[in-house]
Amino acid sequence: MNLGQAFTWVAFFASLAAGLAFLAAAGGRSAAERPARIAFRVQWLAYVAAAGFLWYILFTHQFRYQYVASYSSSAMPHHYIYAAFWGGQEGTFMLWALITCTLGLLLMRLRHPLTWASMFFLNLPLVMLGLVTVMRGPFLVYPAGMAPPDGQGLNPLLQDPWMTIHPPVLFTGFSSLVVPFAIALAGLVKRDYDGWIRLVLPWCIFSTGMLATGFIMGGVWAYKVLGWGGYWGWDPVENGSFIPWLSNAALLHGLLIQRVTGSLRRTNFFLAITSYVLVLYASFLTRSGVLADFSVHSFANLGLTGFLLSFLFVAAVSGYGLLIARLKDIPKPAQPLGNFSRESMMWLGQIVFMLMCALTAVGMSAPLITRLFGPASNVQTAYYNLVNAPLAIAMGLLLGLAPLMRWRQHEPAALVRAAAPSVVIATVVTLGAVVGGVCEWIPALVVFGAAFALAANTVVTVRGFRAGWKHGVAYLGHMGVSVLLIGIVASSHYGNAVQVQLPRGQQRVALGYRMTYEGIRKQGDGKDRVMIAVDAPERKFEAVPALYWSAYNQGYMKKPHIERFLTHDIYISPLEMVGEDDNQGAVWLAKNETRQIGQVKYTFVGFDIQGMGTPQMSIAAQLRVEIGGRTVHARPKVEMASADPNTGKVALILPGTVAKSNQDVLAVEVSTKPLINLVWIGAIIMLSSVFLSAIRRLMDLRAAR
Amino acid sequence: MNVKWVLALALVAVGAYYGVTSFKKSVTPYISFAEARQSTGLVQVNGVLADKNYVLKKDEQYLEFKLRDSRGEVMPVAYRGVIPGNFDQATSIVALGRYQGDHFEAEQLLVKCPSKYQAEAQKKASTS
Repeated sequence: MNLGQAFTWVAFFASLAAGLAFLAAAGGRSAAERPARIAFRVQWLAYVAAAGFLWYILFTHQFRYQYVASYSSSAMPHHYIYAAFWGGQEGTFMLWALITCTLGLLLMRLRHPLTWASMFFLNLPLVMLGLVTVMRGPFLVYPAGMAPPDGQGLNPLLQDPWMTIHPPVLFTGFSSLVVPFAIALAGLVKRDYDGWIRLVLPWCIFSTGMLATGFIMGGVWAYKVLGWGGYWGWDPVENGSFIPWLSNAALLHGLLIQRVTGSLRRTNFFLAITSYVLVLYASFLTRSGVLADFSVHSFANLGLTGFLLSFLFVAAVSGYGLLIARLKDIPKPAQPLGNFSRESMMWLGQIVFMLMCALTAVGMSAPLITRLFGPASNVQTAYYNLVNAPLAIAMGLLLGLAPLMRWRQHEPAALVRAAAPSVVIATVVTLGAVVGGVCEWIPALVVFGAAFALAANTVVTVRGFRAGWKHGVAYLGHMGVSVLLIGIVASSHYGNAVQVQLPRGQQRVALGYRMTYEGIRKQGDGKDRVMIAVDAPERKFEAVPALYWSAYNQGYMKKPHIERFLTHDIYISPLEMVGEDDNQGAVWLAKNETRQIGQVKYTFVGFDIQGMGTPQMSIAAQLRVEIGGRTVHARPKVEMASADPNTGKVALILPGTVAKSNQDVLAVEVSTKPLINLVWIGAIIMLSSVFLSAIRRLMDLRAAR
Repeated sequence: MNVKWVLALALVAVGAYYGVTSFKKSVTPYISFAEARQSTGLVQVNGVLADKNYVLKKDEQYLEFKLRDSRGEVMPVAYRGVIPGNFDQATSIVALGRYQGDHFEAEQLLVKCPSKYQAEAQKKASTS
């Protein structure tokens, strides 16, 4: 056993000890509190030590550790070695445990009647994660003598500054949903159906914010690095963190309703449990390998399917089981939910969130659902846009209506008066959009809803901030969401895109931009750039997207060039160098086949393979060439790609058959991204609001003590 | 029945309607070549490159090749669009499109290449 494994064992046993002590402390034995604290801190320290040890072996390039050899190499720059921690499945499980444990440490500091019971439930997933870290940790060593001299390095796509920070942030948000889950179960066990709200609210907001930050960072990375032109791809991994986020957002609004009106008690317990169950369900889908055929960045199967399923099963059964057991005991609200009021609009908003969540979950589970009826099949990403766009209209309208209404009951006439100016503004904006080219119903209605929400929330935000920042932050966040929605509609649906081939030194016109491919600029890090002079109506600029061969991926890597303007981006994504096909113009010959070109007869006799199975393996073609009665034997060396092992054929370029080389033609895709800045601005407004709200609720929690 | 419930039911009904219709519209089953020949809609087939005698016209972004599935059946495929890089070294090819007349007209090609992501690590880990 090595030091890393020793630390994970310590953490696992500490989690068992802490679990027992939390149980006793939650049962009212104050003598157990001290041991519980100590055991939990030991667990945290063990994970910190294990993480430190993992970084140590990564930075010192100890390739006898399989994880180090698989995800780093000695040539890798330092900041990427640091990110290799979460380059693979095993490391992310340990990161998950470390983050959960750190959040538990914070939760343990809060004094609340539910603290100990909550800690017991938070510790349950830690026992599971501890188990998997012990069984499948990142500290497996190669048998003596089997260690490779160097590692494989990290996928160059992931070697981007955003990727060093995006995974831990997203993962923190993802893991943090354990806290609302644990507090909800504690509330159910202790029959505290209202008191848990105050404790859970800051956590719920924190999770919303962290996950959203993670999405936005991932979006920026996809947009700037991947080069397909978007920031959200409805990939299983993205959906997997989006569905718990939606459920958590529904919980957040439910908690606010319950705090004011006392209703939705059961709904909120259900949502808090569901959010974490969805975290585990998404982990199961993306990490067990069941989607391996359907997603580019799902992890390969590590034999964890059974473990992940039982993890999901334990959480779902204990959560929903406890809720069902207490269902009769949870008192009905003194007053039913208002009929036409702010809370009823928020309640409808929750339904919209949960519909989005359910439909997205159905889409990402399509391979499992369709397997029940026939062959496993996936849905196209268009599905997600189709189902979520109509819901986005409803969301925009509700987002605008709710803040204009009072709690409990509202007069329809008063609402019409309050909403009229916003409706006028939204109509003007929508008409402007229609003139600008938005001439389909659904996108136009999304713009209308979002513009209405923006206008209404601007009014209440200004009013709120006048009364003190605490009263305005939530509406500020809704302004951000509205701006974001408009930006999404414009940038994803109304840009132009065209593919164009640029011969070196010759000007071509695409989308009105005059472009000249000038050549390749070699870079020190091997990520060569192609240089394109662009003469756009806005300004002249030099586009330098990257296009380089990656031995790691056995393919060309591309990075787009983005020229930013206030109202739009010009997005230039290299596709390929045209005419690099080595076999172009080649003749395929089967064994003993003869081909006559002019006066010369060529016969392919067979392959001559040297050093079979070694890295130095070379293949040569044995040829018999007959020229004017003379016979000559030739043995040209051939590339792997020119030899077809299935048919035994070889591709040869024979004199006289060579096709004209059209090397040095660069194919690029040029597109415009209108109003893309609204996406980033909306996202930043939304995030600042969320984090200000978290601070506000934390202040409330402290003041109440 | 009050306003709140009417709106809620309307939302759920619209959501469910869009969900079911969109799901049916965008689900693309993996089917065998025999089934692909019978089908009329958008389907997915997968297989490997049957031989290296493919026609590639890069200038026109046109590709024609033969796909062989796990049962050994072979079907000609035509594709217009951005040609995936190192397409001829693919270990598996997924084609999304529809069957037309005598060949499969692909709208989208997904190419899986060897040694990507964890595949290598997998192989190594299993040797120890």
